[in-house]
Amino acid sequence: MTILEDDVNLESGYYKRKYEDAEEEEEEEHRYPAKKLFLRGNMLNGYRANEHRCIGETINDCPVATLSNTGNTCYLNSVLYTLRFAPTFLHNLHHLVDDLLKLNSRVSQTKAKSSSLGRNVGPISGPSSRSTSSKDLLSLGGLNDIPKSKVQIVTEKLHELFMILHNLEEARKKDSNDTCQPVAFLQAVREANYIFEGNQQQDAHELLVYLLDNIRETCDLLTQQAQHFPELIVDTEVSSNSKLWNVRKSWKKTKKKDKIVISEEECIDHCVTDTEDSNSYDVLGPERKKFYNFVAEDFEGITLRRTTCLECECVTERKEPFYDIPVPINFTEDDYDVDPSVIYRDACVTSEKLCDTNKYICDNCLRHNEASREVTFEKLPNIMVLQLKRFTTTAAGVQKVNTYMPTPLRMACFCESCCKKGENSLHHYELCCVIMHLGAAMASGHYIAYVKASDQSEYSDCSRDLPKTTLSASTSEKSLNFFKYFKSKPSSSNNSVIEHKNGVASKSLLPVCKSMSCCGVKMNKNVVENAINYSRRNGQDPWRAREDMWLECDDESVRPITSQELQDFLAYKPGGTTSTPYLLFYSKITESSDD
Amino acid sequence: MSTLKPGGQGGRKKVQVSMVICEAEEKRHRSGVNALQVDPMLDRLYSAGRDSIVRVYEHERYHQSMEHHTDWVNDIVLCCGGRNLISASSDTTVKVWNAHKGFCMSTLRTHKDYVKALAYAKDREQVASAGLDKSIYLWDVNTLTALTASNNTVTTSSLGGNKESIYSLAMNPPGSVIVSGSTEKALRLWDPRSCAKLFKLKGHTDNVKALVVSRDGCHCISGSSDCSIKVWNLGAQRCIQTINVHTDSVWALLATDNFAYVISGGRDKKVIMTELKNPENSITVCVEEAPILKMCFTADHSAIWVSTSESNIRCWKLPTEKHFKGEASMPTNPISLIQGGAAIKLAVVLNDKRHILTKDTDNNVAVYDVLRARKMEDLGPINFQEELKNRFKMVYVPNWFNFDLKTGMLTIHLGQDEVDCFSAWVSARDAGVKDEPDQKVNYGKLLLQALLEHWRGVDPNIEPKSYFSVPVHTPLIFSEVGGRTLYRVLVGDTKGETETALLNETVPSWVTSSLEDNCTSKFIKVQFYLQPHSSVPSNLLKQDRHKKPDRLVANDFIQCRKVAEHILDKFLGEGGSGSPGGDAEPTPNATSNNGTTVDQIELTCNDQVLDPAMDLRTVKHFIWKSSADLTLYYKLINAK
Repeated sequence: MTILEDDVNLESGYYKRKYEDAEEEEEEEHRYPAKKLFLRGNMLNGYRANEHRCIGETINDCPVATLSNTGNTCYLNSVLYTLRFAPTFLHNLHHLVDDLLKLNSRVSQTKAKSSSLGRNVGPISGPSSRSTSSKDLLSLGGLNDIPKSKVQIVTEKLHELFMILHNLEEARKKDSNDTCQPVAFLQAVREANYIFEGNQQQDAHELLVYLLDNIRETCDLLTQQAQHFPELIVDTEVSSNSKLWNVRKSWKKTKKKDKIVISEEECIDHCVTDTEDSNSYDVLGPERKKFYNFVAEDFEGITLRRTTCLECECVTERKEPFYDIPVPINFTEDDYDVDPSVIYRDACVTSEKLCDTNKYICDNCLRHNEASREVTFEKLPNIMVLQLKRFTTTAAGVQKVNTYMPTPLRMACFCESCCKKGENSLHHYELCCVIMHLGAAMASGHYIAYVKASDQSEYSDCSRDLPKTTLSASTSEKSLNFFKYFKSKPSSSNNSVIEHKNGVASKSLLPVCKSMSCCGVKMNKNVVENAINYSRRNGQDPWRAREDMWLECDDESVRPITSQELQDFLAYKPGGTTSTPYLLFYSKITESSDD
Repeated sequence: MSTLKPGGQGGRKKVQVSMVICEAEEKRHRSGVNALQVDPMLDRLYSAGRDSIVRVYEHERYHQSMEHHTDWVNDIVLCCGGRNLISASSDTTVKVWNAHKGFCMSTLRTHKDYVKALAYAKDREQVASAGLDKSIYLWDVNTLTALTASNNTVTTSSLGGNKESIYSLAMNPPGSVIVSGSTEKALRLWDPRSCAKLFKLKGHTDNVKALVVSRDGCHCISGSSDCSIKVWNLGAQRCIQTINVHTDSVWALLATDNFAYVISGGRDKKVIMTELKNPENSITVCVEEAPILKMCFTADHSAIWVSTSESNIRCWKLPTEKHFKGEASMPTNPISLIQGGAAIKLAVVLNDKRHILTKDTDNNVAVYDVLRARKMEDLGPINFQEELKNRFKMVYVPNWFNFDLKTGMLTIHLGQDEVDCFSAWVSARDAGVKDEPDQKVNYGKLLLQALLEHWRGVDPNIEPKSYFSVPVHTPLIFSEVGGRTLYRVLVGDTKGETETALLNETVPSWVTSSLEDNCTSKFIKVQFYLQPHSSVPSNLLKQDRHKKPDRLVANDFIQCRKVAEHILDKFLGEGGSGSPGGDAEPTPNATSNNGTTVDQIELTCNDQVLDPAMDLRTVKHFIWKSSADLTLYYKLINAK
């Protein structure tokens, strides 16, 4: 419904999202489905209602379209900026929403057929509905009157928001602010989850967890839905293409290695090892594997809790999937000399002794015994989210911990295989986004995000959803211009080669996924060039400056900064500060030297 | 639910009552054997079992059991030339025994956690004990054996400085040095004469579970969970040798008198003898069927007794010069075997909450009756899960006891914590005490009455106390919940004078008060709604029945027939409305004025027709399957 209004505003040349009154909204809801499809169709074809208006581009302050604060929504904006620039997220989201749309139109066709036979809803929402969500799903044949699940709406609204941002960037014009109010998206979130209702400041972490969960669920819905209509899969591209959903090459390789390690372990383990896989992991079976749940793929890691009875020394292992790692803040003066990687490893990889009144009930000894328990990481995700535990609940309410914690740009991997390998670890992590919390308390503070200007190589690697002709390459090329600088640059260190970059360099003539021109990030070249020139004048290597480009995203204001500047922001401030990193996003890089 | 007062023991921890279901004489070890001692004079072998019993074998034949511990016996030492035995247990006590006669002389309660290890300095008749409470206490054996009921104080010196749980301890015979091994992964040494801390030896990378010190106190050998054996020069305070002959944790060590050979055993089930001067020279003495827990030389030192985490104890010949030179091969069979018994490994309480189906280490399945504290049936090596399915009965009785299998026998715990032992009321007929379906008995109370039947503290004037009796050999244990044992006595011994006096102090007030009053006020209630089925003609119902239904309350063991009677009486008839009788008084008039009988009322729950003999808690648990208030529907069948 919001898109519709946006569309109107776009036509009038000035983008501003307004909620007039409830009545109008309701009216729009009736007209909504058909018009929305129409609009979306336009966008997929690269159609821009206001194209004729963008004649002379001028230098804008912000390199990308910005999100305005609609009243205590900086928590939302910081998370949205982060997700937009998190490696591969935007691209994968596009394909998820796109697949859903395709499947839905298929379903509605089937439905139309059956309704012509006079059996309106019957055959579809028939016997197979098990949970409420699958019920929602079945009904989301959804181009007519039946409501979609709230979960799916949130995902779609998120994608729409990114489309709007993209369109703003495409349509850059003089004196325009390029600002978007994410009201429609926020509304969808609030409708789906009451805890985000009201205009109070919220916990950015809570929102992030909720959104990722939401999208993961949408991925599952897609999978489920496709299984309900096996006859549809044959026709749609979903099944054949989902295998090809592009995974960063470096990540693919990692996965394979992890598996080898696991099987070795199982062989070596001499003990009665019962592996209780809790819920989703591994139990998913082959059907699930057919579909690519990118949230699970990129954000999910696996913890391994290993308990050893000190009497019989039998080992019990328990694996659990996780989406972020809470990091306790125990930084002391002695830690200034310690490698930050070690600080994080020690905070996450823990061991404890179960003793005294907290003894362990050993299934082998059938009694309470002392035991040692280790928590390690069998697999760390491609995008690792570290949540610094800055908010502690005390008797006096929630209090913020302002203690300094280092935020290294590069962090050694602490998954179990890497810990065993020591110096020759298999992967490392590079910082890609930081959400900072500024202020003394959760309710009164402000959130800003620092994001690394992504190279978006995943769009070129994408083998699904290619345009029928390569004609859209022209627009895509344009939007990729900025990133081309990166690609031709030979990599400097032989160890930390980011493989996908090389891969792209050799294939740079390949057509780029057309989702780039739907919701991709399009940087304002002039702003970027200015920033690079500026740092060049300050004696910096321009190549380096491009590699090091970060964006400081503070609601309506987004400005490019260098990684040096970022490091200065994150560095220890004598006397302390309440501007503290809160959520750290690290991207996994697989070392290539060991082949 | 229950309105019982707390234990009434003031600030003391709540006391629970436990009993062990066992045979009159448990001749065989039920589970692993943690420690061994040989008395060469009487040709006796003492073995400390995980089943809490120290057994004595004379000339390799079972002689007697020394029962007083209530948990695993972890270590024993024979002292005073074989007259006394000291034992350490996970019940946190150290006990002093008259070894010849086999009775417990005194109990030392100084430790606060499992006592894992003992060390003995023969020349000074000194014993040290250590455990998971990180402390080491030194005891003078002559003082310990002289303790009497009136002279019951003993002084002990404590060796401090340990930071972690101690799993092994050793002292040399002259008592000049004592070594401890712990999860700290280091050895710590003291001079027992001055109690002075000497030093710490680092090198192992895991828990140290076995130690030996040479007679002169110059050398020490340690066995660790890091799979290695280390030889230490105590004068130089360093490791002089690391022996890696095992592929898994080393749990037991012995050294020959001259410290020429070390014999080691562990988790890899192997016993290996290694020449210390030349560690390449090692011979596998035997391969056992389970991880090795302890070894002990026979009187002539030509063979060793080996105990494992299973109950058999075998004697193996040690290799001689000949074997080390490769001139002879080691025998593959033990020279002697003390047969152990089977431990219960799996137990499931049946739905009647009275019988327990068990499976032991020999895969034999058996049925136990908790109320009678005895085994009812041996079913042999049948399929356990199948038998469990066959014995399924759709009847629900609340939990009223806990149990554990740590000793390899069933130990039943009655308490007042999460599981209230008075929560199970059943009809006297179901319990098999009287053929009166309307009289209710309480399982917990029945069992407590039986257990304390012989105790003089119970007023003998109370009418026929017990319908059941439990075997007189049944051990009765009073302990703090999740903690230390206060008192252990056999059911048949409770009539003794000293025992009565001790019981008067120990029996918690929640037990005594329950034995005296008849607990009827403590019935558990079920709340439920009664609704007419849509087929019930409204003209049959009284006017107020069309309104929102009242919430009814009844005892959880009320049968559906009683509810039907209530419906007939109150809903369809002319009487006033109210709850069905909490005290289950039978309704004499089974026909109401319009000629309907109880048998014509059909109750359903979740669309399932209810058997009139089924009680409400069973309906709630098996048919309603929710913690929310139960809703029952009624309709008339064959109505005129």
